[in-house]
Amino acid sequence: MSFAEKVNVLDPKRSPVDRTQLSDEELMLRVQAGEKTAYDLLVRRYKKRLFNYLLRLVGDADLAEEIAQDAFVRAYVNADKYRTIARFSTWLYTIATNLVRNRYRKKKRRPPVLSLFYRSHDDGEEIAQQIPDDSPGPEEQLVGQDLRRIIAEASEQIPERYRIPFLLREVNQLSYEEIRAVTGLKLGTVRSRINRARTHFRRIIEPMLADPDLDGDMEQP
Amino acid sequence: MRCPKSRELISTAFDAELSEHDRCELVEHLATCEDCRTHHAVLEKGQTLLAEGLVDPPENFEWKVQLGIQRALRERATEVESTTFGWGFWGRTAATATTMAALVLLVGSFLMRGSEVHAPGMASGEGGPAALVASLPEEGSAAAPDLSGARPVTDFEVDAFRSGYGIRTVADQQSIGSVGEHYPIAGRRVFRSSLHPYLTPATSNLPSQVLHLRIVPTKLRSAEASSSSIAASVRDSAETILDRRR
Repeated sequence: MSFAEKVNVLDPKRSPVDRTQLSDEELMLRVQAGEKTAYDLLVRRYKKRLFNYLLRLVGDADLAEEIAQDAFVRAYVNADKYRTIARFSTWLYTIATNLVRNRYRKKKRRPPVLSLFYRSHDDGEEIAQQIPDDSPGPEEQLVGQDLRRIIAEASEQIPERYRIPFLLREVNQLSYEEIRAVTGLKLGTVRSRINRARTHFRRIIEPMLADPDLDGDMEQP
Repeated sequence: MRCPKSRELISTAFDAELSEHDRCELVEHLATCEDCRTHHAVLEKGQTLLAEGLVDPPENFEWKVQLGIQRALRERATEVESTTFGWGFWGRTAATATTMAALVLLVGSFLMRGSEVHAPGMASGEGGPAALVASLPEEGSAAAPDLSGARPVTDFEVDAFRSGYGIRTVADQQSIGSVGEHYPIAGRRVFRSSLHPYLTPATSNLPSQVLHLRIVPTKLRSAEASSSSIAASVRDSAETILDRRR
């Protein structure tokens, strides 16, 4: 953004100022200039997407809410460190993803728990174990439930390393380049992990979509 | 083309990054491979459902963010102050004293402004600014409030906020309870009030600055009253007023 553009964005006399028309980056410039209420708009813009990203990442609504709020707080408190060369969304998701990673790291220091995944001998890929379960079968559980919510929850079963780029792409519509910036992965790795995640996703949801008892306006694929 | 390559191209196609050459190859493959066609169709539906399945964050999400920001800025200010002074114990003591003094001033001024609001049945002067300030334990103290003289029905945690400030305040105690203590719980400043049965009508007199109110029953103090039913009644009453105000 040129100096003239910056001045224009920050000029309170510019009339009429419809802040909803401003880009994320323009709003952040206003926040940096001391216009704190501009940040409310950014929170409003991103709260749903960030919350859903984290919800599918950590699988717990309370924890997702806590991390999302923490991410917004950190983004605001460190607003002076933000540079408009990066998109605000990339910056926000980087903060949130790092918060999740830190949580996982702390978890790893705790006593190990039984993993629901084992490593295949063929390609080293993680595959879900088949554990016998006496609870009502999926058909019984899914009848009458909201298919969209079930599909969204199914994404939580994708292995974590594939899930982060997958959710950033599918839920948050970030480009490969932005996902690379958030995750620190190489572009080719981002591409292959999203591809692998989609393969996992297909395996998980295919039986759900084929289930005639599920509600929703689904057609057979 | 073999299926693994086709799956890669399908994934790329979803991201609208497929070249014309690859697109032609993929179309050709899909025409002859049913499994890849299914893969494409399932993913396409899954993608749509995933996007439609987004849930809303809790209603008070933005408010909590504002609160978190205020808290973080205050903590940062205190850290800076301590670092600047570099006086070790005396620096920290000075910082705490400053914070407490600011809090007392804030509470006092707000009480003065809201002093026309009284809960029905509240004796004149009861819970006034001086009494309130005197009853505030030092920050860090976890001593339970003395509720012996308050004829308490139920204990509640009450967070009252003034819009635009995001500062949790005890100033509303006159309108929502008779006595209260202000002390940190799990790192947050929470106002605990022992509430009287007249609490519900009293919420209609909430000062105009209060836009958010969270009331959580914590402990049943008397077998005569149900904490949850009182909480529900109070919450309904307060939320109706606050919603109208917003």
